[in-house]
Amino acid sequence: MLNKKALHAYIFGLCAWALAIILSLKFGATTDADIAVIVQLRLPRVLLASAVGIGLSVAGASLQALFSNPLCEPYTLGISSGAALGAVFGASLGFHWIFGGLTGTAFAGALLFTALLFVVAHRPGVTTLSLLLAGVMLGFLGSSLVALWMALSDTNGIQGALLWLLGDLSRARMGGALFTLAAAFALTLALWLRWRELDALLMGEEGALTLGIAVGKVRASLIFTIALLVAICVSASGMIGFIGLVIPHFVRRLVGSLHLQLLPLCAIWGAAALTAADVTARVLARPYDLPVGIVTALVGAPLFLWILFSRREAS
Amino acid sequence: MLSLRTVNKGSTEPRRKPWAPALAALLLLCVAARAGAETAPRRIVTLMPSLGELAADLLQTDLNRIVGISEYTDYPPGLKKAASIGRYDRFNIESVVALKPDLVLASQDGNPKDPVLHLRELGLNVLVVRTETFDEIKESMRLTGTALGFASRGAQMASQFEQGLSRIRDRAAKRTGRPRVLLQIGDEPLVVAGGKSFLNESLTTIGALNVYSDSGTRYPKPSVEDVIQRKPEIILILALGRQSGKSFEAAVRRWKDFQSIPAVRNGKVFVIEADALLRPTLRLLEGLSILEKKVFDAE
Repeated sequence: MLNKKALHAYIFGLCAWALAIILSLKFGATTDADIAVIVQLRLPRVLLASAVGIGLSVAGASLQALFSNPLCEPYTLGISSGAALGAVFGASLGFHWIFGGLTGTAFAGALLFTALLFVVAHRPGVTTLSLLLAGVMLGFLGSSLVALWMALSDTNGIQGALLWLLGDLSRARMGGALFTLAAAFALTLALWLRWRELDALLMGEEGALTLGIAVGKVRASLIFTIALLVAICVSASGMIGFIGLVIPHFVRRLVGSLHLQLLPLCAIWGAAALTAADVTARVLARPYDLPVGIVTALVGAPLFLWILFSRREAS
Repeated sequence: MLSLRTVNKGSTEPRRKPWAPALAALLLLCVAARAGAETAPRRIVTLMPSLGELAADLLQTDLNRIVGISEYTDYPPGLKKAASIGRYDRFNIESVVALKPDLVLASQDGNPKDPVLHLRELGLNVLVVRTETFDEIKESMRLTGTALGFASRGAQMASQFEQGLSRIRDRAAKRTGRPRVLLQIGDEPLVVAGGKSFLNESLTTIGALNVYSDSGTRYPKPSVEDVIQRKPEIILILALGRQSGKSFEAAVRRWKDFQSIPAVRNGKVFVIEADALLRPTLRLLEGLSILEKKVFDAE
């Protein structure tokens, strides 16, 4: 079952993750950090980066299978726009309450959009493509509402919310990080247990039907699980791009498209990548934190191109 | 708005924001936890340039007690030796914690809320002051004075501020007529001082009338059409910080097309350089007299 390639991918992935964690604990805004700084500030951040890295890449891989579309990423379905709307709304009214660095109103917004999407997915006769388009439209709706809200209100508090939405792990607290990590593990496990259905969906809607999969039902429940995972990630860290797109493609390059290996490897490599990106973002512009999304995009875009073209040449 | 204080003399203030009660409860917990352990702080970190200034004024000679400052803290020059914790609006939590401060001074009106709460969650002693109105500025002087162990200096500073204000108010009372002023703080998009900003209070104090005093937001972004309708007699463009002079000249020129505005017709569009106007410390008085001169010398 576990071929040599996959074994190597696990070993290298775990080593990369461990290395990223060590570097993250060692380096930061200050050069001579004592144990208190490491435990109170850097450790929660490492845990949160790992959790969000796991969540985003697993969600990305599952969505790409679900929609048989390699361009899908966690933010394609518009759930993040719901989170953005919630965060901005809450910030301007002054009650985006925070538990351990998590934004409650962002989570509520993401859940609301998840529910809308779920309703759409349950409509009889809805195709995978129209569901995808519905998600994209939900995204547009959310971001235009954010823009409307911004235009109409005092921008003072909102700016912070918007900056955070660009991807920010600096708010990590131990409680919130552990919660996010537990949720990411649990939802990843829930998706992993359905690897057979995800594999079947790779063959497209009709292909899956011929394999005896009740596509409508499976799709709706998978979407709900994935959306919950994305909602948790976004309300913990804003929108960090590229991890959810690039990591699944990278791992597919290593072990192929079957989800039994793909999902756990995505979790490991996603955690490693975001942890490494975060420590880079913290150190590059000391003492300022660069938005981690800049680093993931700067590294992710060339990596994606490399994956794309090396695959072409191989075939 | 937060009315957080870590000193143990709380006074009641009007609640303005819905989340005030929750934060007030948090504050009470903090007060309860810290009451009794009242020793003068030795390691102070200030998260705003204005707070660095305020703390330095209160400490007078003992400036080395300020171990961390925010970027752009340029006054008094003696403070520049302290470590930088980053810009006030995105200060670095780790840098603050690493300095092991026994008092952190933060502002409700400049520092982002969540990182300040984070510092407090990490067990640091954080005093958050508000400086949006003149009363709040006076209160912030008293609170900071008490927190630094110089309660009487703080009170003295507050009354000095009040005296300065009443001198300006006296001069205003002697003048007849209140010129209609548009105070522009941003160009492209046009941003002006609204009724809820402290700049509105500054204009009222010197005896001018803010044409946007009825605006519900602090910094509205009106259309030029709306400005024309409000007929400002003087347009003041606030030159903020380190932008180049040229950009302000361009802002002045942009008004030239609208001759129906009295201020434009009569050549009363000015750039005003008054960083002090944005410092909620005693230096604000200097800023106010600059504003006063610009408005009334032009009359």
